[in-house]
Amino acid sequence: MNALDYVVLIGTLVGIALYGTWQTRGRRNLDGYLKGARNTPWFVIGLSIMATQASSITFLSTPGQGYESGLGFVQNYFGAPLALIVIAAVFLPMFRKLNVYTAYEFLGRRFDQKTRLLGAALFLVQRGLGAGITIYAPAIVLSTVMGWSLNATIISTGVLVVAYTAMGGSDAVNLTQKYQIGVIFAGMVAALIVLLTKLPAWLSFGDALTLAGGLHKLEAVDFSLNPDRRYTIWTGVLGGMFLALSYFGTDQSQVQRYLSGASLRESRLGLMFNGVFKIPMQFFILLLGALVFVFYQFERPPVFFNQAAWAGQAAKGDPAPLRALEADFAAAHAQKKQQLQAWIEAKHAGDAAGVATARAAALAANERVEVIRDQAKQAVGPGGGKKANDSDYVFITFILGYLPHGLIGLLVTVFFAAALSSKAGELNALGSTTTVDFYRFVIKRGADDQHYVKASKWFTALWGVVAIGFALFAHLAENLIQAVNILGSIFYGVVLGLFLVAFFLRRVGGTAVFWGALAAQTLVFVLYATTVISYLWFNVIGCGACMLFAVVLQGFLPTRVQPPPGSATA
Amino acid sequence: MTSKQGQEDPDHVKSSAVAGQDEAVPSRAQVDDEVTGLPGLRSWRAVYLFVLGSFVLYVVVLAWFTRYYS
Repeated sequence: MNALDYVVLIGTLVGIALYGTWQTRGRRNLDGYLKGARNTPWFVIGLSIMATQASSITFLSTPGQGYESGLGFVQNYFGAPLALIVIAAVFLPMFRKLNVYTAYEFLGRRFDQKTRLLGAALFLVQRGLGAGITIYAPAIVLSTVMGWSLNATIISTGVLVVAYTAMGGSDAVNLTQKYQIGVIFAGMVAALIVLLTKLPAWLSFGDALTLAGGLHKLEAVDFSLNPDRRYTIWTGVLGGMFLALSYFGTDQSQVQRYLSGASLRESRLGLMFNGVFKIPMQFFILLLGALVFVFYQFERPPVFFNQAAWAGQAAKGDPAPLRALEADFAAAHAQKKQQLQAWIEAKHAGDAAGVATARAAALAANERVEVIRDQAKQAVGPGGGKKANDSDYVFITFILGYLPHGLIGLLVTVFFAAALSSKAGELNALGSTTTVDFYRFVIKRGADDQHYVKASKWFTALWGVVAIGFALFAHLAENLIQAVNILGSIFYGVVLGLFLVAFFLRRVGGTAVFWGALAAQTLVFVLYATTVISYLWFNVIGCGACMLFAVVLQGFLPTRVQPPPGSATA
Repeated sequence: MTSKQGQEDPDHVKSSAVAGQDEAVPSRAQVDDEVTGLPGLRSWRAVYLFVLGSFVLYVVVLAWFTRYYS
């Protein structure tokens, strides 16, 4: 990166943060601070929902996933439109009718206060423990590639996001996210345009798709019923819908975004905006990765993209095996390049037999390249035949190697803007839930709005400090990101169960659902400790068990028909 | 939401001319919530069907894309 790139990076990030803080200065009442001025139009809500969900990992790692595994990951988002329809039709009207600040406040109105506190506590534990990841994950990749100090990267990112989120509240988050997502889209489209211009002149866009498809990078939909397949349309629709319902419907970082809408209509349209555009956006990012793969068929990539780790491995021990792998890789890559050229020449000549022959040869050459890459990943991996993850470094390596200065700065800005926008949504939600569901409700009742706004700012800042601290020490724990994902899955299911009981099982009261949720959570803990079930299933088990236990327990308690929430207050 | 009789409020109520009955007319905010404001998609059911239809279209197009380039 040169001076121009740094000007673009720092100017854009600080400029957006300052603008957001200045525009939202003087928010004095709790309603304005937590929900915004309630004048947010639907497209801002839509962009804000998108920006909160899409962290920098989405833009750093997803192209790498497209490079390595193709488009299949897009199926993970197939459940999102269906879940968003359910949330817009059922969840959202109830939240707005009751005029709640947090999703857990709704549980208090529908059941009782102990259930509200349980839901809020589960959210805070899960989201609070994962708070550092959205800062740590991009910082580790970018500091490694750029040679920056990891700690300085974490602290500067963290302080910036804490400052404008704490000062401006929900409006500042929405406002800055609008511009941040604009920068993100502009950067990704610019990267695609430059990428297409960097492909060989004789290779058309259609030819590039032919090569990517022929090398199995464009398999977007898999109808297989084989349970060993990681991404299929069935897991995408069922599992994806379940996850999206939990995330968009019960996670305060998302609920707070759409509660800031000027009306029910604006909030609904914001959700529907995501229902329509989420899948194309993910498809575009994955396709970008698949096209980077095609680009690297004609420009030799490093055998291992994380060059810092590769150099570190060479410095640690005997570098000869690594040099041998590099030489093998260069030879195999050159051979593959020839086969691919022959394939396209045969295609242009209309020679079907030549296409089939060249394609078979190219596939065999690709297989050899992949074997060498696997050996390289094992060489840098933690040992025991385990492979190092390299896909996070694919896109950033392409950006730094082939994009012009200025655009490099813009793309690095994209990664940081994504980190800031998702972190801001999380901090905003953590601060709001701590203030509304615990501080105002349990510790200090009856104070004026200014007091609660001040408290909310302090809680937001406190969670920011927790996130920065967690990110600074994240490297001490191995597989930390996976550990946090597991933690999330352990709690998400039960929280969703609480909300589904609230919406759909009106005969179940607070006591039954409270103890049912605790029993379900205990069951999930026991299963986690004693079985080897994939952690994604804990979402399903936690939710199902919570609903089942609540219904069974209600059978032993005095029957009470619960009026629809809000019927007395509307 | 009911009207406050006698007050001028453009967002609020007008009297029904039928049989001298006062009929609460929804405020503009309520009306905004009921109408989608989208051309061609006048009810929320239509909006949901549109989102569902776009999802089905994506799946069909992606399935075709997969088949065509495999």
